[in-house]
Amino acid sequence: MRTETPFQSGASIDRDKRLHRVKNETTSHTPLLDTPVKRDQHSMFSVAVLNPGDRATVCRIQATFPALRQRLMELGLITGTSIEVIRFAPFGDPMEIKVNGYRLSLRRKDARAIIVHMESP
Amino acid sequence: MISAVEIQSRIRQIAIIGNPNSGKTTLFNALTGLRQKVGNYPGVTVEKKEGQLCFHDGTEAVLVDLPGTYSFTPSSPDEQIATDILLGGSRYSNMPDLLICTVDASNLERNLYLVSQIIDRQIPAIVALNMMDVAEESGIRIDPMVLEEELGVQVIPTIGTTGMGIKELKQAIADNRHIPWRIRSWQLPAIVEEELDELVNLLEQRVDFDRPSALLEAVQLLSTNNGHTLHHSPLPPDVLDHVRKDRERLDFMEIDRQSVFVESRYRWIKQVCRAASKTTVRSGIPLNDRIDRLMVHRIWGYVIFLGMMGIVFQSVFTWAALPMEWIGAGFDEVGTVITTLMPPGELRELIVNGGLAGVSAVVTFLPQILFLFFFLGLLEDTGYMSRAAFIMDRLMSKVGLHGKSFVPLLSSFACAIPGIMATRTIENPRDRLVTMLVAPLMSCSARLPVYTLLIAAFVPSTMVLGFLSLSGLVLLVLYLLGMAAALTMAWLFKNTLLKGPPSIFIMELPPYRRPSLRSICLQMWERSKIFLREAGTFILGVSIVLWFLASHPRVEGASPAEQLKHSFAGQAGRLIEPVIKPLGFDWKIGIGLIASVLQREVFVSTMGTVYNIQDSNDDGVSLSLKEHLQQDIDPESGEPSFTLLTALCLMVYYMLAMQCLSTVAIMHRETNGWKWPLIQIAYMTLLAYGATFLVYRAGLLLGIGA
Repeated sequence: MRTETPFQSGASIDRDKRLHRVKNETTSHTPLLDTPVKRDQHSMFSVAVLNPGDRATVCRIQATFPALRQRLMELGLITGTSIEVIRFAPFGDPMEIKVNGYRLSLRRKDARAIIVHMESP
Repeated sequence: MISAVEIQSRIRQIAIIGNPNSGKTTLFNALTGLRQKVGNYPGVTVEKKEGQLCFHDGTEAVLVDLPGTYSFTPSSPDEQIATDILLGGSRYSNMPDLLICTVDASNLERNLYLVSQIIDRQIPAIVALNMMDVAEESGIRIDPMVLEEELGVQVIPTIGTTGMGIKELKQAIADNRHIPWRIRSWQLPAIVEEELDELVNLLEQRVDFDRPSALLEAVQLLSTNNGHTLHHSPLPPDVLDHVRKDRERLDFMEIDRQSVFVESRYRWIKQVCRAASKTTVRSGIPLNDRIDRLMVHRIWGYVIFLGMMGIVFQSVFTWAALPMEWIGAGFDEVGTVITTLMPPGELRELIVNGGLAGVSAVVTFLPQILFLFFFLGLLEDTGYMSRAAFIMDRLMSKVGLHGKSFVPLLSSFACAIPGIMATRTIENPRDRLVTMLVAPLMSCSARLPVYTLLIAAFVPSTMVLGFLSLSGLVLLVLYLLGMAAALTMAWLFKNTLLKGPPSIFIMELPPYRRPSLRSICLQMWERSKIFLREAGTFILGVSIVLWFLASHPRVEGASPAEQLKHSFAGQAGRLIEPVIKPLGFDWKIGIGLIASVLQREVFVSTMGTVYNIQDSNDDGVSLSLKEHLQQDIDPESGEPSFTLLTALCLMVYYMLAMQCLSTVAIMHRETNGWKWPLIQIAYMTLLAYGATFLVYRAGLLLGIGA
C-alpha cells in the first residue's frame, strides 16, 4: 500500500475546481489574473488545467463513474506515471497527452478525473 | 451433439487478439491472405472475421480476428465479445485452442496489460511482438528471448507491414510448443493477496470455476461493486455474502480496491519491460511530432483536413461518376443486345427491365464504394483519421457525436451507402448507430437529378445580388438544410432514443505509419463483396417487383404512358393521392414517388413516362419534361397542376424522405436486423411529410402556389 499524499480528497477537489475556474478565466482573456497560478511541487491539479508542455506525475484517478476510472488506469494512468501535456485541439477540446511513450486524446471533462502533481521543469 | 463437438475439435480454432492499433488486422491479413470470410456475430452489430490458415503439411486451421481490446474489462460490444470468448462460456464461439496475441513493440507496457490477463486465464498463447521496426526507430530495443523468459509465453518478433516473422509465426502455430504455465506472476499487497486467495478457493468450490477463471472472477468481484460474474450470471447468496464482507474489510483498511489490482499488474509489467527492453533517448524532435504540429494546427490542420475531404468527396462524387457511366452504358448495351436476340414477350421484359435494371442499379454503386474505401483505408492506415477526429471532435460533440462521425457524414453527400459502411471506424456503438441513422439526410448525388429538373423547370433564372444565380442558391440551401436536418436529428436521437451513459471519448493517436496497400485493397475487396452479396440480392429483388408493378396488368396496344397509368403502380399512385394531397402532390407525382422508392433519380424517368415523352436522350427528356411539367393543367380546376410551390414541396420531400431502398438494404446488413432500418424509414418519412406539409401550407399563405 502506498501512503496517500498529504492533500485529502475534499480539500483538493475544491482546489481543483477553483484552479479550473481560474484557468478558464485566464484563457478567455479576462484581465483577472496576469500572473500565472503559483505551482509548487506538492499542489495537485487536474490534467485538464495544465498547459501544453507541462510534465506531471499522476497522483490518482478520481472519476465520477467506475468504468472511466478503470479504463484510464488500464491505459497506464496509475499513481506514479509520468505524463506530458502535448496540446489542446484548436477549439480547446479535446486534449492530447503523452503516457508511457504513446499519445492519448481525451476530452477535458474526462481529463478532469486525472489528478496530478507537477514535476519540476 | 457430441459428434458436432468432435467434428469441430478436429479443426484447430485459433484466435488473434490485441490492443487496438497493434497491427492485428495487418497480421491477420498476412496470415490468411484472401481466404477470409466476413460475417456477423449473431444478434449484435459486431463483425466476425474468419480466415483459413494453411500449413506446410497440408493441415488447416480456422483463424478468427477478434475485436481489439485493451483489457478484460470491456467498454463496448466489440470488446465485450472478445472478452466473452476469451473467458469461455460464450454463445458466439468455442474457446480458442490457441491465441495469437499481437503486441505493439513500440508501446510494450500498455500492450502487456492484456497479455498479463491472458496469462492469468491460461489459454495457450503466442505473443507476436509486432512493429519491431517502429520500436527500433523510436529507440526501443527489445530482446524477444528475455521477454519470452519473463512472460513464460512464446514470443515471435514480427513486422506485419513487411511480412517479417510471418513464416516463423506460422511455424510456431504449427508446432504449438507449450511452455508450462506459471502461477500468477504479479504480486499484491499481503492483505489483498489473502482475501483474493480465499475468494478464488471459494469460487472454485462453490461456483464450479476452473482455477484461472476463478482468479479473474475474484479480481473482478473485489475491484468492483458488482454482484454478478463477468458473464453477468448471478452468484449464490453465501458467496455474495462473502464477497461483501471482503469488500468491507478492504474498504476499512482504506485500500483502493479498484486501483490495487491494476497497479499491481503494472508493477510486474514494469519489471518485465525493464528486463527485456532498453530505451535510448533520441535527440531532436521526432518526425512524427513535426507532422503532428502541422496536422492539428489551428489553421493548417483545417486547411489540410478540408483539402483531404475535398479529394475524398471529389473522388466519390466526380471520379466515380465516370466508371458509373460506363457501367450504365455497358448494361444498356447488354439490354439492347438481349432485346434484339430474344423474341418480345414477358420473359424479355422481365430480364431487361426487371433483372438487368436491378443488377445495373447494384453494380453502379461499386465505383463509389471502392473509391471511398480506398481513401478511408489510406486515412485510417496512416493514422490520419484519429487526427481528423481530434480536430473535429469539438464541433461534433455539440450534437453529441464523436469526431469520427464527420467523415462518414461527409461521404454521405456523395452516397449514403458507402457513408453508412464507413461508420465502422466509430468504436462507440451508440454514436455509430446515430451516425448511420442520420447519414441519409445528407443530400446525396441521386437527389441531384430531381433537384436540377425541378429547379430548371420552376425556379426563375434571376440573379441575386447581381452575381449569384437563384437556382444555384436554391441548390445550396437544399444541401445546407439536409445537413441541418441531419445534425438536429443526431442531437435528438442522442437525447432520446439512444440516450445512455456518457460515452468515454478516449482515443489513441497512433504514430504515423506507411499504409499497407495490400490491406487497403483487401478491405476494398471485402466491402464490395459484402455489398454485392447482401445488399445486392435485396436490391435486385425489389427492382424486379417494381418492374412488375409498373408494367402489370397488361393493357394491349397502349402507349407506355397509358400502360403505366393502368398498372398497379399507377393505381397505387391514385390510391395514395388522398394521403399526398395535403402536400400539394397529385396522383402523377404519386406514381413518381412509388416508382422511385428504390432510387431517387428514377423519379425523373418515371415522370418522363407519365408525361408521355418517348425515345429521347437524357438531356432531351429533362428539357421537354421541364416544359411538360410547366404546361400541365389540372382538369378539375383548370389551373396549372405543377407550380413553383409543388416543386419546392417535392424538393423538400426528396431531401428528407428515405426514397432509397439500397440504403435500407445496407442498414439491414450493417445493423444486423430490421429494427433500425424500419425506425429510420419511419422517422424520415414522418419528417419529410411534416416538413413538406408545413412548406405547402406556408407557401399557400404566402401565395407562392397561385
